[in-house]
Amino acid sequence: MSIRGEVSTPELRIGAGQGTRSERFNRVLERAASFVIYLVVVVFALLSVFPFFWMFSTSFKDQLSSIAYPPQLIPPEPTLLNYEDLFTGFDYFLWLKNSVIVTGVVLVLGPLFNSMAGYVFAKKNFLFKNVLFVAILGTLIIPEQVTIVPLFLIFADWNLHNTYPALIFPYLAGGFGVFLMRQYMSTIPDDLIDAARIDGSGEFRIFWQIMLPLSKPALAALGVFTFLGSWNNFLLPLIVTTESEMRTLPVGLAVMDGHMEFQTRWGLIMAGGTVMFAPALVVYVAFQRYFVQGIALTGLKG
Amino acid sequence: MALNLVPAKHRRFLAETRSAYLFLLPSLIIFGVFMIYPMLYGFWISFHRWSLLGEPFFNNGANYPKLLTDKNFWNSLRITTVYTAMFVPSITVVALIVAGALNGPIRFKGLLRSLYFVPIMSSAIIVGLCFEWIYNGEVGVLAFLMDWLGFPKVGLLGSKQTVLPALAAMTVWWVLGYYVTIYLAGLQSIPAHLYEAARIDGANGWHLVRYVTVPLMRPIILLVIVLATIASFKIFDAIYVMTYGGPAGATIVMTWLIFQEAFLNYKFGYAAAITYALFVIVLAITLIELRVLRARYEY
Repeated sequence: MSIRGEVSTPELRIGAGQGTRSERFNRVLERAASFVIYLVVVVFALLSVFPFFWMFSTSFKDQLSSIAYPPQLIPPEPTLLNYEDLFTGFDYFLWLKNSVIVTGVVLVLGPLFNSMAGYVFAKKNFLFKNVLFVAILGTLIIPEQVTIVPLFLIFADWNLHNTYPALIFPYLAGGFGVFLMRQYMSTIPDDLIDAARIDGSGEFRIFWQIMLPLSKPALAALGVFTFLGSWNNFLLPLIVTTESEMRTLPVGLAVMDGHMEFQTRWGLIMAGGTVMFAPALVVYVAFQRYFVQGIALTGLKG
Repeated sequence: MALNLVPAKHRRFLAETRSAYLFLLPSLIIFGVFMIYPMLYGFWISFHRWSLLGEPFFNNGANYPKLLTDKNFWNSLRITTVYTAMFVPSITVVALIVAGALNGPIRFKGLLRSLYFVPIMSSAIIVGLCFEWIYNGEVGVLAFLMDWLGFPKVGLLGSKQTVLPALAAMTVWWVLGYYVTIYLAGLQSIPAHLYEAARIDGANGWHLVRYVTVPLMRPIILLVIVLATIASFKIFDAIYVMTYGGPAGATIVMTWLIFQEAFLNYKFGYAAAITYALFVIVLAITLIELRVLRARYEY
C-alpha cells in the first residue's frame, strides 16, 4: 500500500516544476497523502507507548495525585514510596524471585529440548518420523483451556500444586519451538554433519558443537518467544498456585489488584507493573531483530 | 545372532531410529505427560459428574446434551462471537493500514516499527491494568478527553453496551505490532515493478492499493483473519483483571465460562465438556474461514 509508489521513474520526473495543471494537482495530492501517512504512523506509534509512559509516571505518584482529575502526566512530587511498599508490604519480592526461577529454567531447558527434537526431524530418518512430526504440529491448534482443567486435577493428584515443577514442566517443549528449530536446522548443509562424523564425532557432539552454534539466530528468536511466554504466563500459574508465596509476578499483581476493588492504589499497581515490564523491555531492545524474524519466519505464534 | 539376518541398510535405519529417539526423549516425555495425557484425561472427565468433593461419577456423557440446552453456554458463545466480530475486522484493517504506511518511503521507519512492538512485550495483565485506568469513568484519560470535548464522562468498562468494544479496541492496540509484522513481510515480497507498471498505465494511489496491493496480499490477509479469530476465542487474562466476567455477566466469554465452572464452581466434568466444545468450535470456524475466503479469492 505504498501510496507514493516510487513515482520517481525518470519519465515522470521530467518537467517537474512546470507541468500541466493536472500534474501539479497530482503533486499536491501526493504531498497531502504523504502527510496523512506520517500522521497515521506517528499517532499510532505515540499511542503504542503512551500507556507505558503513564504506568511509569504513576508509579512515582502518591495516592492523591494518582487519582487527581484532570489526570497529571508528570508526578508533581515524585516519590519512591510505592516501590518501598511493594517490596516491604507485599510478597512482591517472592513473586519476582519465582518468576525469575521459573522463567530461567524454562529458558535454558525449553530451547534445548526443542532443538534436540528439531534436529532429528530435520536431519534423521527414523521410524514414525512423519506421524510424530504431524502430531507435534497438531498440538498447536489445541486451546490451552483443553489441558488446563485436567492438569489442575492431575497436579492435585501428584501433590504438585504450589510447586515449581507445576509451573515449569508443561513449558519445556512445544510444537512452535520444535517447528521453528526444525525449519532452521534443515537449511544447514548435511556435509558439515558428515564431515564431523568422519572425524569421529558422536551424535551428541555433532548436535552440541555443530548444529547448536550454527542455529544461533533461530535459538535467539525462540529464546525471546520462550522468555515472553513464560514471563507473562498467567492461566496455569493462576490455578496451580493458591499460596501467595508461590505466585509468579503476573498472578501476584492481578490478585493484588483484585483485592483493591473499592480503592485502587494506582501508584502501587503501576510500580508493580513497571518492575514486571522492565525485563521484557530490555530483552526486546536487545533481541528485537530476532523477534521480528521469528514472526516472519513462522507466522504462527499467536 | 538375529541381527545378522537383518540387511545392513535396515540395521543402519534401526540404529538411527534408536539414536533419534534418545534426542526426542525429553520433548516426547513433556508432550506425553503434560499434553496428550491431560487431553485424554480431560475427555474422560467430560463424561463424568465431578465435583471437588467425592468420587467422579460416570453420567453417560450427560454433560454434552446438557451443554446444548444450557443458556449460559449459548450466551457465552454469543458474547465470544460478538467480540470476535468486533476484533477481527478491526485488527485486519488497522494493521493493514499501518503496515502499508510503514512500507512507504518514510523516515524513522525503524524507530516507528520498534514503538509498535512495545505493547506485545507486556503481559495482558499489565495491559489490562493500564486500560483499567484509561477507561476509568472518574479519573481516566478517556473520560478526561470526553469531558474536554463536552461529552458526559463514561466508564467504558461499567456498561454492558461499551465493555466489549472497549476490550476489542484494547486488544487491537495490544497486538497491532504482531500483525503489522506479518503484513510487512508480505508487502515486502510484492515486486516494485508491478507498481511502476500500474503507474505508467495511469493508476493513482488508490488504484495501486485496490488493484495491486490487496489482490497480492490476499493469502496474508487470510492468514491474519484466521490467526486473529483463533486469538479472539482465547481472550482471558485481560478479562480477569478488568471485568471478572462483568458487568452483569456481559464479558462471560467461553474461556471465562470454563474458568468459572471449573475453578469457581468446581464442576470439572462439565467444564471439561465446554473445553472440548470450544476446541471443536475454533477448529470449525478456522476450516470454514479457510474455505470461504479461499473460494471467494479464486478467479
